[in-house]
Amino acid sequence: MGRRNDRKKKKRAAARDAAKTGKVRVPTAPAPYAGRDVPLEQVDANRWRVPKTGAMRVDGMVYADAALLPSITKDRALEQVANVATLPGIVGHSLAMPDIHWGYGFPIGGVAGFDESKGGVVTPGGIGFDINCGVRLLASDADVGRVRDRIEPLTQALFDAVPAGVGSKREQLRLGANDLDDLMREGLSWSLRKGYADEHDVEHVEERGRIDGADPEQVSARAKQRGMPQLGTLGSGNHFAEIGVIDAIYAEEQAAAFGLREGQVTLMIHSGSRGLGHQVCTDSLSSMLRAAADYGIELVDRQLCCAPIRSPQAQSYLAAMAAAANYAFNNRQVMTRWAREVFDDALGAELRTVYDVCHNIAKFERHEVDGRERRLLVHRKGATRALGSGHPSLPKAYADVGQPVIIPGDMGRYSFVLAGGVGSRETFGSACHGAGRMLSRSEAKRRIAKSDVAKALKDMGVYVLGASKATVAEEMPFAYKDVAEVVEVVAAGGLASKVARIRPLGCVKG
Amino acid sequence: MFRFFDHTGDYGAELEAQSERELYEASIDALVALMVEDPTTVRETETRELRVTGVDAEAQLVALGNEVLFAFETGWLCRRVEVDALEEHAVEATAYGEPFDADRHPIARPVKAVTHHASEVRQRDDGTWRGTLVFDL
Repeated sequence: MGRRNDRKKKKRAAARDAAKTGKVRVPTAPAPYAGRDVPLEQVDANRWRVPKTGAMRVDGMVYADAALLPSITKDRALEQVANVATLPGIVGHSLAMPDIHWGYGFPIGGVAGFDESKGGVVTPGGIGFDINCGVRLLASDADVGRVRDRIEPLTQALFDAVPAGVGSKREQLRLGANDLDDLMREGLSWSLRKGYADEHDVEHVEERGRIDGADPEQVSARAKQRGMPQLGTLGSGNHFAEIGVIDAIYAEEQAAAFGLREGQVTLMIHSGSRGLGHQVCTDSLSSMLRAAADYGIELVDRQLCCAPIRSPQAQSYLAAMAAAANYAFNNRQVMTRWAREVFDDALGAELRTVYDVCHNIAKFERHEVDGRERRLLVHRKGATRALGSGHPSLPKAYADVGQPVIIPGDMGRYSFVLAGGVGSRETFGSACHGAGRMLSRSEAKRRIAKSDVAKALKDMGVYVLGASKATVAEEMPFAYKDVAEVVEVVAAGGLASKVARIRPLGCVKG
Repeated sequence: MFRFFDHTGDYGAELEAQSERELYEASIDALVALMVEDPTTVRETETRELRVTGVDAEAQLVALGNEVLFAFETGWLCRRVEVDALEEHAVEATAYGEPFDADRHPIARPVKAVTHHASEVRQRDDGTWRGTLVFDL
C-alpha cells in the first residue's frame, strides 16, 4: 500500500517537473574561433582588435600591450571575447581589460554593453557567481611606524574579528526576521540605520551602496538560507582583508583629494555577496538556459545563456541581482565595522572609507555610442567602473579629480589606487579590476610545497593568515600577472591614471 | 573516475564511467575531492534524498553538484552519492554523509558553484560515458 502511494507520488512529481522543466534543446551555434588562433589587428600600442567573424555581431577590442599579450593568448581568453560578441543587442565592442583571463562564458576582465531597444540581453555569466564582488579601500590616520613591529598580532586580531573561509569561530551576526530583505532592498542605508555605517561611508561607495530595482521577492528561499548566516564574512578563493601602507604617490592633487599620503596605513577588503549571490546566479542560469531556447537565442557557450532585457526572466534576474549586490555592499560594510574595532583597540586609530567599487555587476548607464547618447546595460565581469572628473555620479570631494579606482594586486607585491579618466568613455567607463591570474590553481600548487608558502611570503615581507588549506598556495604571487604592467596599460590607454601604490603588510585570506 | 584539468581561475574535472548513473556519481566524487582536504574524514552516518531537474543531461549534472554544495553550505557534508533513478526530467539520488564539523572536516577550498561552462555528458561508441564539469572557486 505504502509503495503504491510512493509510486503515485513520484508520478505526480514527474508530471510537475515535466511541466516546469520539460526537456528542451538548448540552441547552440559554433563558437567563432573555437580551437583556432584568434587573430589580432593592432590599433595602437595599447589596443588590439579581434575582427568580426561567424556569429560575432561586433569586433572585440583588447586593451593590452605587447608584453601582456602572450599570457592573454595562451589561456584562450580571446575566444571568450569573441563569444561575447555573438550576444544579441551588443553595442560597440566586446571589450577586454588588460588583466583579462579565461573565465566561464564571459572572460574575467570582460565588459559589454547591450541596448534594450535593439533586442539587447542580460547574461548572468557576464556578472558572475559572486555578484558585486568588489573592493573597499579604507585609509587610517596611523602611520606605518606604529604598526611595523606589530603586524603579526594586528593581522591575527583582524583574522579573529572578520570571519573567513568556513567554520569561523566568531559568533554569527544575528539578523532579525526582516533584516535580510531590508538590507537587500535598501543597500547601505540599512547599515546606516543599524549603526554599521556613517554618512561619510555611504557618500563614498559606488552608487551610494544601493543598486536600484532590488526586489527580495525575486531572491529564492535557498539563496536567503545561504546568505542569512554569512553577512559580515569574507568568503574564500581570492578574497582577503589586507593591511597595507602607501609607499608611493604619483599624483599629488588626486592623492590629496582622496586623502592619501605616503606612509599611511590602509585596509583593503575584497569580498562579495557570498552564498546568496552564488545561489542567485545558479538559479538564474537554469532559467536562462530555458529562456535562450524560448527566445531562439543560439548560444556559443552555455554559460552565456541570456534573455532579452525586457523579458520576465531578465527582469526577475536583474531585480535579484540588485538585491544580491546590495547584500554585498552591506557585507563589506559590516566587515569594515569590525576592522574599525580592531584598529581602535590596537592602535587607537580610525579607518575612513576612501571608496568602494564593484567589479562583478550589470548597470543601466548612459554612454555615447557613434555620436549618440544611449542607455545601455553594461556588464562588468572582473572590471571596475572608472568615471572621469566632472561625472555627476561622483561624490563631491572627488568631482574635480575623478573616481578612485582600487586595483588589488597579488598578496605579495603591491596594489594601486587610480583616478578614473575621461578616456574611459571608450570602454563604457571601465578599467581593469586586479592583476589577473596567469597560472591555473593546480599549476600554482605544483610550483610550491605547502610547507614553503609561509616562508616565501615572509621573505616578501608579508604576514599571511589563510583560512582554507589549499588556497594560499594557489594564490601565490607568481600565479598572477604583475599588476603594475596591467595598470600601465590602463594609464597609457587613458582609462585611469596612477595616484598611489600600496604595499601589503598583513593579509587575512579566506 | 575523475581527473582534474587546468582552468586558469578555477578547476575542471574530466569524468569517466561505465554507465550514465556512475558518471553522475563520479561528478560528486570530484566535487568532494576538491572541497574536502581528506574525504575519508567524512563519515556516512546519515543519508539524504536528492532530486534535481534540468533542461538536459548537462544541466542535470550541474544541478546535482549544486545541490550537494547547497547541502554543504547549510551544514551537511556529503561523502558520495548513489543515483537511484535517471528519469526524463529529473535525477534522484541518495547522498551519504554527516553534519559538517569544522574541526573534523578541514576544507581545502570552498567551491562557489558548479558552472555550465564546458559541461558535457556523452556516451562513447564503446558504451562508456564521459563528462566534463568546471567548478567556480
